[in-house]
Amino acid sequence: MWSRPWWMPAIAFFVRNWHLYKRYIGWIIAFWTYSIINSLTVGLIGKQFMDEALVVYLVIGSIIWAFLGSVFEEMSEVVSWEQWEGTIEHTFMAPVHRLLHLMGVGIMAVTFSFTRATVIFIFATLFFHIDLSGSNMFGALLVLAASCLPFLGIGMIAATFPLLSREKGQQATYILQSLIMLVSGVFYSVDILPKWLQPLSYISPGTYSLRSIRAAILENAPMSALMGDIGILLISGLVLIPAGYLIFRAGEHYAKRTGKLKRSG
Amino acid sequence: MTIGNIWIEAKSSYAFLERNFHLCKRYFGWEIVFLVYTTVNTLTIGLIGKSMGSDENTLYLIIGALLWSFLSTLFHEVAETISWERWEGTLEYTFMAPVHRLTHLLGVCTYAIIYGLLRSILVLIMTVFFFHLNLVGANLIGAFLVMGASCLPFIGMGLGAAVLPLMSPEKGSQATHIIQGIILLVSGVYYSIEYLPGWLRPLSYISPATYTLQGVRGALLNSVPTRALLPEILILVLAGVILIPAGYKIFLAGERYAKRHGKLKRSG
Repeated sequence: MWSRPWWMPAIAFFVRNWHLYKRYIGWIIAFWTYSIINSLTVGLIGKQFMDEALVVYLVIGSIIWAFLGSVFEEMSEVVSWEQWEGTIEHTFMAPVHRLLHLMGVGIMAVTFSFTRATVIFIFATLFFHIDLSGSNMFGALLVLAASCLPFLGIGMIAATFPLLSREKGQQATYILQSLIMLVSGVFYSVDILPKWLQPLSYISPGTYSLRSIRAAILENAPMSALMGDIGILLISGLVLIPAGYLIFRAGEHYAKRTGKLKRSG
Repeated sequence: MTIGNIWIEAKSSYAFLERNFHLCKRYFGWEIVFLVYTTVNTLTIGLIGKSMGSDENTLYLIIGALLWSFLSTLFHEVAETISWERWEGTLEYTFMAPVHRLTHLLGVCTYAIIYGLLRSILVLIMTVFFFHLNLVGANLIGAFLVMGASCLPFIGMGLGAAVLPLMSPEKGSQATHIIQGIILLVSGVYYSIEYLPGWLRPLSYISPATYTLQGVRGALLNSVPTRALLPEILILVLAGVILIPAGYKIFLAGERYAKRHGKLKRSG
């Protein structure tokens, strides 16, 4: 008798989400189009001010945020998707370890987001004729990979909100996403934020991701210069992923105990 | 049409306006989300200007972001006329009700203008506090006149786009989002249209938002007198005079098509 590998459920959730994306391909095209246009629009601000370096600075910011914001969003929607598809009771009562469930969703979140960011990158590079020869692309990709970890962790924490409040939970995650974007210096250095906002920049992993990736691409910063931020991102990931998982499990227990594990209201 | 009939139609229009505000109250959580999104977007764009160390650049970008927030809301609310009915399960009832389509759309468009204004004013207040903006010396009346004139073509475009969810329940709403994105790109919301590639620029000249932004920026940044804004205002009014009847006719044609082909339904 064939005994399935222990990680098979994670793959099943990965494939299930792939099929969901296929089902809603029209909306995915609409949102990706909007993201591409957003990147081009922001890049054109730099062109307006006759600053080629600013164009690349802004475009990199928009592409990186398209990736990181998407990782967070896809992870935070793990419960909402089940509610929208009417499978929440089935998924949460299935004999599948929650860790494997979240692992499958997380891997798909990273894959989907990377594909999206790549598409935007191609369009932006062709539109602005951006030349990245001489950039430390390997270093930039390493920082990007390290950034996935804390964003997956924060996404898991945010995924608890729809468990606690069916009506307002998902909305709260989008507000959190906006705030992370504001304080992380996506299009500007965090030094120009008002003083009362700057402490939030220091605790946002996005700040370190963007800083390092820009250094790698715009200044060809060597690996040694990037290791500090990579270390910060890895440590924050090592803290945030287990914390996010524990918070999610606590939210799940609470929802099951109080009857909030349902599709509506 | 008697005065009595006009009064009845006006009350029916108001009913749609009131219904839409109740929908807004029902989905208040989402309204907060979109307000936060719009505010953060405006602040982010403004901070790009601040990073360049120029107050004028900051104001240039903020004006674009605020104006786009108003115009896109207007377009979006009108274009989603059908989609809302579909989501709420009232599509068949609304379209079979003994209400003139013009009455229905007048209520929806009036709601869109009021809602867009309210939302933009909230974002403006937060932006003014965040950036300590000073608009002393700006031609605010001229700016508002241009904005008022720009409502007309955007309502017309929204009416034309509203037909897409009628033609295709699955993909229509998504197509309106793509159209909105293209208008954003070509209208010079954050930059002068001269910086667009040559192949895109013709689209700028036919987008009403281009003239809106030129007029409002002229009024606020350069205190251009109202008389000098008349060309933009006239272009926008003329565009509205053409686009509103055209959009309405397209909408009616789409409605007839949907009724004939059984597409007046909730899902695909």
